[in-house]
Amino acid sequence: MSTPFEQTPMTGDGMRALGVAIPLLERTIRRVAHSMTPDADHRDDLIQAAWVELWEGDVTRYILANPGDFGFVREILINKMTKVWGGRREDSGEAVEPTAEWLPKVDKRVA
Amino acid sequence: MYRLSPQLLIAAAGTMVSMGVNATDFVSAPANDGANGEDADLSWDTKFIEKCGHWSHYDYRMRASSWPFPRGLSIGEIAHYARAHHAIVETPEFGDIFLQRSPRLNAFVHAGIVLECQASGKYSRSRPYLDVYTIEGDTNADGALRGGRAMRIKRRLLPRSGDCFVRWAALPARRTALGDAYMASILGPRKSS
Repeated sequence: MSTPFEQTPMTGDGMRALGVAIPLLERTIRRVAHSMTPDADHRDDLIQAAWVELWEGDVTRYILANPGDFGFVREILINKMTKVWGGRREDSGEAVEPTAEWLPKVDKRVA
Repeated sequence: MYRLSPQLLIAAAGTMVSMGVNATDFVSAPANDGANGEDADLSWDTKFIEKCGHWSHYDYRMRASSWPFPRGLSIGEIAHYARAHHAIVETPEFGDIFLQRSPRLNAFVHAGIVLECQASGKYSRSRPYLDVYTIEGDTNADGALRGGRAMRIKRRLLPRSGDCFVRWAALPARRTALGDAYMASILGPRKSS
């Protein structure tokens, strides 16, 4: 048996994983939101929707250092943003089908 | 043989946590660090449960444990075994084993021992969640997979994502020939009298 961890607590909290995950995904999510709409308020709504989806999906079941898991989570969040933005466009009478102009340019370096 | 008891399992697991066990106590170092980064065998969360369960239910008189699972099962095999014995439940109780599922892999990726179900509720779109307090191996203070430590964790589980619980105490305890012989030696005179 190894020495006990004296400097660190023995009780953790899975919700803290969100604080670790957000900085990893933030750049991509902001970029996607920016490509969807020029409106800053709408962008904030989309980004918030992505973070709520991340929170509800429980990020502890993924290893974000793993490219496969990272890409999967990113896809979930982008799909959520697309859905939210699609609904917004539908409310305003615009087309809701995704078009090339607002589909995100995904950062392949992190994939 | 000892009767299956969540108290025994949790006492053993709590002792392991307080002793600060880590990966070296459960898995040997991989022979090569090549492309096996995703190798599920390197995870020791189920080995932690197995070790706690086996030794907490070990009867030295009979040199056997009544821990109901065969030794060396992977997390998928534990789920399969429990399902075959109708021991999968949706609502946790003290001592149950939780199984956390990855939607990407469509497989269970992590397991631990439930100490308490602290809360339950529903997200938007009626997605239910359960807040559980657990003891688990191969995690860290953030509740991450492959964290490398044994800890107590407050964790949120999502039944809609496939997370479930194994009521192992309801499984039949393992019996051995030696155990049966021992029981017969005890009960034999009583029966004959």
